[in-house]
Amino acid sequence: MTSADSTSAIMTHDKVEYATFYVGELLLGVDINQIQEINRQLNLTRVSHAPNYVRGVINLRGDVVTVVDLRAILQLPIVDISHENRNVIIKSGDEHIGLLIDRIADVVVYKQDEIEPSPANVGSVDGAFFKGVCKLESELLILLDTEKVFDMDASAAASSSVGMD
Amino acid sequence: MPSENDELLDAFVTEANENLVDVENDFLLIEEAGANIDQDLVNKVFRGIHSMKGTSGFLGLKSIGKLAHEMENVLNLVRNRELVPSPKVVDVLLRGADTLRNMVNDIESSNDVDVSSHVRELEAVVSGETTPEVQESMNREIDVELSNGDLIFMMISEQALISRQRQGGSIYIIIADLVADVQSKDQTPLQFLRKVYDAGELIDSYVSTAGLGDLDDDLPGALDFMMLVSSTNSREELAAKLDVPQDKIHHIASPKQTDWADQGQPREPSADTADVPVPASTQKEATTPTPEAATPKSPAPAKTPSKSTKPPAHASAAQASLRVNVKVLDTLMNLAGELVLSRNQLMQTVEKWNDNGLKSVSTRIDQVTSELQEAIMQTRMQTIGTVFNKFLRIVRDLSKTLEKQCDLEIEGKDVELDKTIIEAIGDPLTHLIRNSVDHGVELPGIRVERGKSPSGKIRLSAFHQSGKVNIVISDDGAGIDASKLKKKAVEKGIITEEEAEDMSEREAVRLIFHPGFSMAEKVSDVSGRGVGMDVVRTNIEKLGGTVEINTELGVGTTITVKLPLTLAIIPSLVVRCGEGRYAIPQVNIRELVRINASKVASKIERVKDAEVLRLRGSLLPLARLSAVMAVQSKYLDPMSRKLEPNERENIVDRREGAESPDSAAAELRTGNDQRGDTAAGALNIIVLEADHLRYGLIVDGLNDSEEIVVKPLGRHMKECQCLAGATILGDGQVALILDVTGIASHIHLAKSDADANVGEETADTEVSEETQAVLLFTNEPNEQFSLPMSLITRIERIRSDQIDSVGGLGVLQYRGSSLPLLSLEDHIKAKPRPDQDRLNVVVFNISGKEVGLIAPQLIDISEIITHVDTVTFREPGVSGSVVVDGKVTRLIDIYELTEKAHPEWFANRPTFETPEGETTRILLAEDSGFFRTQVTKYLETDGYEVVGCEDGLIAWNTLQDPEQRFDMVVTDVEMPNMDGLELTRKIKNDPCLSYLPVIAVTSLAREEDIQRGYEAGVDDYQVKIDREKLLAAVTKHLKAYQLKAGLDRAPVSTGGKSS
Repeated sequence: MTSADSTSAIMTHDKVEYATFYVGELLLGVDINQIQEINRQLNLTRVSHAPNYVRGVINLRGDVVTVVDLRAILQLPIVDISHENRNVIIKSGDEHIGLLIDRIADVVVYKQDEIEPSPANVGSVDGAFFKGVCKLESELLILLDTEKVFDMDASAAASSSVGMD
Repeated sequence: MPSENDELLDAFVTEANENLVDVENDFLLIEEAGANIDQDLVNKVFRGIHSMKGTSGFLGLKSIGKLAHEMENVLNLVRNRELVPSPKVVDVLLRGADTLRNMVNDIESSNDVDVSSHVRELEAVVSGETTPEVQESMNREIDVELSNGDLIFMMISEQALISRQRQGGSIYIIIADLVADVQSKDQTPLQFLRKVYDAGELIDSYVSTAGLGDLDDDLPGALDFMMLVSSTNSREELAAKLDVPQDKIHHIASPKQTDWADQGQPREPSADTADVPVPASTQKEATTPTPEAATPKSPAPAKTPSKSTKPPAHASAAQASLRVNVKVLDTLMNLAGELVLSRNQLMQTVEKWNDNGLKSVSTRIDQVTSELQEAIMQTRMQTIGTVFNKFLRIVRDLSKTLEKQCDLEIEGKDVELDKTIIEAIGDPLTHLIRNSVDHGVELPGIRVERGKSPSGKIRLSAFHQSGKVNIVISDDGAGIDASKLKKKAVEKGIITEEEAEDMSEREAVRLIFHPGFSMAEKVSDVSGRGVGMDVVRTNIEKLGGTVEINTELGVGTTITVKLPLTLAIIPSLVVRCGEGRYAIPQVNIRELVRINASKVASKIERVKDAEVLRLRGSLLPLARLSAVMAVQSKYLDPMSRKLEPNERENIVDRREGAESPDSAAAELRTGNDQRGDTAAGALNIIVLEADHLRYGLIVDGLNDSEEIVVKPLGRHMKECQCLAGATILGDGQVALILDVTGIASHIHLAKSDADANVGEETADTEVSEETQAVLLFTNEPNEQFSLPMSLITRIERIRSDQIDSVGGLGVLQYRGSSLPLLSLEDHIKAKPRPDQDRLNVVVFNISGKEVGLIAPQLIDISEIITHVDTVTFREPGVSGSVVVDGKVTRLIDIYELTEKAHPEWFANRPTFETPEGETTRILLAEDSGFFRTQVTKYLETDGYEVVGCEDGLIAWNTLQDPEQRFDMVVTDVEMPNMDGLELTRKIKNDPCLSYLPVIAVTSLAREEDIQRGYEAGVDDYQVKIDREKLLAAVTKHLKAYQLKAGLDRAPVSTGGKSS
């Protein structure tokens, strides 16, 4: 359903590896090929006047990297940084961007045909940032559309206009 | 033309070489693929050769053009599958490419190369390896003409046209005016050609020289560049893409009706020709039976060696430089920045260890890092010639349009600047050059009238000076009329009439940088182009540079642009606010002001909603960084060394609070508060300037000055106007770089606010008590001293190991010379300074020599009220004492101190010699006891007799006393009962006294004050209190007075000398 080109990994390979992690109660997954690294570099410098979902910037081996708080994107309450928090560094366009997550989980492998289109929302969370779901025995793995997350402002505008229909 | 073309030629050579390197490999790949033609690959080679052909035609490189043209024909056939690229074919192509390379590397003599053998070879390949139909159409040449019958192109290979049409392209003739369509749109012909290549295929082109006269003539208004182009774009699209008027693009439905209809059309049904191209099976038959192709091969080898004997020199020159992807350089640059940061960390860590081995290694690393960084910076450097060269043409065309005569002289083309700066400086410089031609240089007739040569001279030069690149644009034109500018500024409401009157000529000239002040729109439309000088200034300042303007009416104007060598690393001040640290570029910082807790109430005012600072008589708008950044302001608790929230966000709350706990805490602050952190209550204000706006930024603390590496912020932070980027500090933490202009607009600080201050200034100064700005420092931490700010040349921070001892005197080696140093404890009763690694040296200029006073620990800059105790601590070198923030502070008399240390410096100072042993008597009017004593002392040391008066009225009465005779009056300006100006007026209006020279000595140093002083009739105006200058002025005016007295007047004074 969502942008086919950004999911080229899914199209070309039959099986895709996902790194999974928790944000609040949600189990989220990102194609492992998109991830540069996962680290605990959370020595954040707050940036005034930045959008509310930007938690701050970090020094990633000499580059200044924006850290986006997934909780803010998914409209969950913001919490203090704990020892379980991780930074998932993703290459997006010319820059690296960090996703602040609550807790890291496993790497899982899925076939393309096991992925279902994402519902309009999952619980109270807007489905605009998801590109599909996989059903596990006990819970639902939500595949995150990172480009939509990073393009937050545009996506928000788009999804609200869709909502009007 | 040649000099201008050099740049184009260079670009062509580089580009052609780049193409040819790939071409060789690609030919081999094409050969390998054989009949299984890789369309993309062939297209790529085709484009490479094709663009060489197009550009060489433009540059008049006939031989290269001819050879490239023939090669292109062959490639076109291959592309259309009409010719199989057999080894034989590729052989010929490769030899052609070799010759092309040789010609390109010896571009000057390329036209002497005979390419006819290659041409024959290539033609033979075509005739030997293709079907007769193709050959026939190859050889058939037709003329292309416009619908109105104008013959534009002759003898174009019909095949070239047909094959393009078959690919769906339409044929156009485009007549572009190199002046109007290319040059004046700020593109080089090469850039224009690239656009053409992007939009379609250039079949043939030439520059119409019909309208050209001699080279010495001015260029004609139009220089037509004729192009025969095939493109899949429509006429409208082409016009848009090339930025050429549509009426200059002609669609050629059928080139030369008759030829085309008769021969071209029948074959048009593509089926028959499209079948000819060779499926793999027919390939061998096609290649083998062609003996003709082999025969012409022989002359070529003989040709190549004869030509290849020349190029070696060029070849080696080409190898000396290497084209590197800019991305690689950027990465290198980043890594170098990283290395610098890591080096800084290493050095900090190593400091703590006391290991000599480690130290020497780290010193070496330190050095190598610096050199490496410098070398990498070097890779990004480009010569400014690339920017300068285009100005020749601009000046030429523009002066033609304006019917002026201008010569442009260019100097310093080799000066190098960072790539980013080179790219950004073109537009502002173009504007300045246009201005020089348009507004600077006069019409020839007027120039002759004014006794100048009819042709104006514009000089453009670049040179290095003190770590910056200066670009100077000067003309010998009319200059700028400051009074006209003022008038216009008043008309436009930029300044008021009174302001205009007070404005110095220099200030007035700077008005042209004011936004909304464009001289151009009135005078002509040439320079205007919707850009004013303010944009020029803003753009240059964005690059961290400055613009200065110097002009003399009727003589000319000189504009100096100073640019940093690079943008990537900038010196900056790191400040603290809340828990964050921020970097402020040094270029924006004018000064640092610290206001003690006890002074906050009197110094900071609230005007409507804004806080303002009284700074030397003017009001400075203030902003709090904590408010701008929306963070909690914090102060460093002196006891716990922890950051504590600053409860009082509002300064005005402190008004009554001078005695409150805040100031009690301030008392605890000691001299070793090195980080300059704000103790509770005191304020650190950074005075910033950007875009004419000056404002103070209140920060919680000052850290170090650092060279920072600028890193961009991610795309999510593009909206943060207060931030210019980020950097990584020595400890690895990210600090944000403040955008000084952005903050100004964030807090809605408009220019008008700053203007409003001017009016308030006068009222302000009149109520203020007489104070003196002093620098507070300690020698031994418990003994505080002060020095008058007005005498300080600068302050240097040094390492204690930089001090040498020469013959018992301290000397600082720096900047290639040595600076004599004074230590307080050597000359006055002071405790010795403790050992410490870093020291401050306050530098003065005394009797034309520089001398440094060691001030180990700087405390503050403060305004002290001059109620000075001149008894208790008085000794040579100490003029008295005051209490500052509850501390006894001794005032250092730097002259006495220096004289004590170096009496020989003062031995032969010129003084006024009183004739015949008479005493020269000076009347001194000064209400401040401290200054009275001080000035009296100065004057008495030079042998004058001084009579001190406490105010102007007393002074006036003393002058009226017939028993008294004076040779000079030295007066303060601000005094009770009668001020110095009134006194001066009375003296100058009194026929018996008007001969007396009057010197005003005051702390009012603004130009308006000085102006008022001179209007009142003072002979000299001195700012408190520079002994050297005062004494020099006294001597000068006494001499003048003596001369005058000797000429027209015997001494009138009846009183004679009174004792």
